[in-house]
Amino acid sequence: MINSVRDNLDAILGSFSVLNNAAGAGRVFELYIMTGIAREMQDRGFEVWLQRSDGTRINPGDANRTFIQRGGAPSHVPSAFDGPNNASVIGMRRSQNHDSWELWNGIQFEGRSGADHEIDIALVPATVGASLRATATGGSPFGRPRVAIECKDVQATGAPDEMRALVARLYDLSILFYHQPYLNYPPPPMAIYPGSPQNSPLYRAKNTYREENQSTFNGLARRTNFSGGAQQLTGYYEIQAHGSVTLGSAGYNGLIAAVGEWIDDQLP
Amino acid sequence: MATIDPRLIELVDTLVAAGADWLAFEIFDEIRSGKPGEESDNRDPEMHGGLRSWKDDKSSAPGPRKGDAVMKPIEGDDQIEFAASYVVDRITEAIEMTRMSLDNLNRISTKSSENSSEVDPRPQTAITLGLEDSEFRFTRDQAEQLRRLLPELRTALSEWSIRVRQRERES
Repeated sequence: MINSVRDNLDAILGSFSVLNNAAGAGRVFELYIMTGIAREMQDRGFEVWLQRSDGTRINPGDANRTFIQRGGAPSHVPSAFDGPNNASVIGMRRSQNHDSWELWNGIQFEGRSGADHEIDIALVPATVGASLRATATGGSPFGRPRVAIECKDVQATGAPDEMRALVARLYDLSILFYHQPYLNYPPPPMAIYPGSPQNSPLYRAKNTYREENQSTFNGLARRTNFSGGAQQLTGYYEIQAHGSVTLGSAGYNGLIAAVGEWIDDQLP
Repeated sequence: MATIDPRLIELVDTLVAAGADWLAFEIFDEIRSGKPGEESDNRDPEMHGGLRSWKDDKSSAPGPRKGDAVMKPIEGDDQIEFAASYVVDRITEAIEMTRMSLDNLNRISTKSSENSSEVDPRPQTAITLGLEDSEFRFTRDQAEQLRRLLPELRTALSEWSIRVRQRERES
């Protein structure tokens, strides 16, 4: 009997090898959320496109139409000089007359402390991505994305420490107005570097952490639910806790709708 | 907290051999923490409603949930049944999520073009999903093929579960 189980598992996992490591199911979960957000924005009338790691678009008639998801350990934004075969991103803009944005998966952001923090799904101005890709080695953005979603494809109920970790991560990534003397960038202080556009208040550094928390979409998406203690932290720090995010569930639809509504309302 | 039933070992060995040891760890975690009882309804809409109203009216922060789930232990034969279902449900969900993601990527790509006013006359192939630093490549057609294998896996796990439980009663 167990031999039949083994044969069937080998047949499936042999060609779906993404599940052959502990992070595999998590990557599947992140891609499902990332592409769901992108499709939601397309349904809302945004122009949305797939983009290779060298900055070129994956167009309908192209011979190479591979969307590459970030693999093992989180890393920085690769240089365009490294070619098109590193992790792809999803681009979007309200229309040709509006700023472009990039939806990233598993990128390390540098905090004020100098520590790197992986954000599972992040939305940043496209000019930030372009600035990093234009360098010889690529690099990590310094600062905080406007959308940051931590994805937890785990069975255990979300404990307060999980939420504390996200709060601490976002705190370290927040650049405020009064940090300007300590920045290696000329004023005005922006929420993210390099390459942040300066044409909208959304990009500017805020006066307080609360103001920055309220100017961003911060979410924690879990396959299962949260403990009451974890929930208590969410309201104060403006973190949306989305539980029961599973295939086609109300939890998934609620998360996608919330992110879509925020982007539609807030993006210049 | 429940004790792990030794009859699960052969399934765990099989998962490890197939490269899915993470599934075995998840089964152990789930068995050790138990299944949610009757009070475990999802209260996220209630919480989000509280957060929204708090943003509108800053007078009071949203309150905590009424209470956490009461967990019921998974014991004996229930562990075998649970593990058999869990394996196929988890793999099914992963394949379905990937299939839906590929649907999303294909739809996004079909509608997007650097010059959206022009129709691209070249034949369009479906998006292939790749994984960075890996040979893994996956298409929607492959996802469809794998979907067709899932009923056999479900049957094999169900038969294993029945056999293991019967063997215990016969001995």
